[in-house]
Amino acid sequence: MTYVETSASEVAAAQSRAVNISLVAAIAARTEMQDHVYVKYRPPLMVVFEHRGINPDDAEDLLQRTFEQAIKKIRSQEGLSDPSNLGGYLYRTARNLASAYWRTGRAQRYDSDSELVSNICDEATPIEERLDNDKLASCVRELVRELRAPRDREVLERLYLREESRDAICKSLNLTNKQLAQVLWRAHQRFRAILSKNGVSSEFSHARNKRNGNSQSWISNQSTSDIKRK
Amino acid sequence: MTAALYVAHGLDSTAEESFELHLMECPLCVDDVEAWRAVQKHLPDAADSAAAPAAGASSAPALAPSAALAPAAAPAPAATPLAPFGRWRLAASLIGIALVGAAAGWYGRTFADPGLERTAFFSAPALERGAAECTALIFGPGTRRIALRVAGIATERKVVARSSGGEELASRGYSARRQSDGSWLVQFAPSALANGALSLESRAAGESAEPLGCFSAP
Repeated sequence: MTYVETSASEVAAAQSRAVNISLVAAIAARTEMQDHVYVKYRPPLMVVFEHRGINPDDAEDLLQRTFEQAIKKIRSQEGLSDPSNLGGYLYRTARNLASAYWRTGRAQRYDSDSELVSNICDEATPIEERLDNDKLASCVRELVRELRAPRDREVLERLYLREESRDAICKSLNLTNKQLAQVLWRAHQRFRAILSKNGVSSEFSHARNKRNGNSQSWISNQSTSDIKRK
Repeated sequence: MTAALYVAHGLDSTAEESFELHLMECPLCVDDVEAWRAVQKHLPDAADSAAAPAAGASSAPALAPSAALAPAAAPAPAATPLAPFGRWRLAASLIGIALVGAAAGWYGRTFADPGLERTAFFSAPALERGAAECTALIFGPGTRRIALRVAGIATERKVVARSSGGEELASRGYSARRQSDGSWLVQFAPSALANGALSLESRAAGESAEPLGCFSAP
């Protein structure tokens, strides 16, 4: 008998892969479970688009195109080569669409394919969309006030306001990478606590998972002929 | 720390891709990214005055914003400026596109939103670079960061900036990095143009430099 140590993240990844296989099967079979694809992957895909400087409206368009391409691929004869890696396929599709977006120099408004996508719900929104903007700004100001060590505030400021590199920050402040990580971790923990204290969910994922059960239909279960083009 | 660095665009391309792939299956890390984005977006400028490093102590002075900073407690949204990339991200959705240097094939965007005018974003098509005349970058007096996107650079080449005297700028005077889509993003403070034009060129080992254009203040 061989003992294999498995970390929690590995277990979670294995579970995620198993879920993906079910999701791909659901999309192929047009069952209601396919809706969970959108709920599960919208947040990370929006992160990817926003990270590339794509404005939210255009990101939503690209998001739809990403899902549509995946659905078409899944429902094609060849299907996905590795259904357990649905996230990887969506990511690569999104990344390619984002590159094309910038290559064209301007966003071309995309008309959603109503044959594949309808009634998109907005259940899985990022924190900025879920929280009052002023309240969020207030929480960040409180975080800065609570960071008593000037060095901690300086790290945040130089990382996010001045966009200095990690190496430059570490060098000038005589910090090791581990110490920098500790500074960021402390700030992160404090920010979570402040959000919680201000009535904001301290665990965004819980809220997201809770919403998963309430998601409306996203991918049309109707046949192509039943859908009227707008 | 990965989420924090990701938001700050501080990961190299390989690490960034790995992390984004990880995000696909990790809602907790997506939450971390969103939390750090919120910090980035709303980080008050009062931190500058409270935590600004001494002059010459780091690379910060060269890139320090020239505009006066608003107090942290100011409630108006415009008094809580966004981090450069946050502004750029939002700015991309706004109106106010201005064409400059059309003869040289360059075009730039400035932004009409008062809260965004501290960053001026310019994009440079690959065609028609290298014109003899410098392109004047049009940006407002409150601009604290200029971001130039340069596409069409071969993967083995890197982008460097030179002063009007032909000397390569010190690394603390600007930043240039390849983006995930293959283009380069060159950022510098408007003060980099104070003493003359700034030139960009791409380089590769064993090959001659390729001019990418020259830029001056308006």
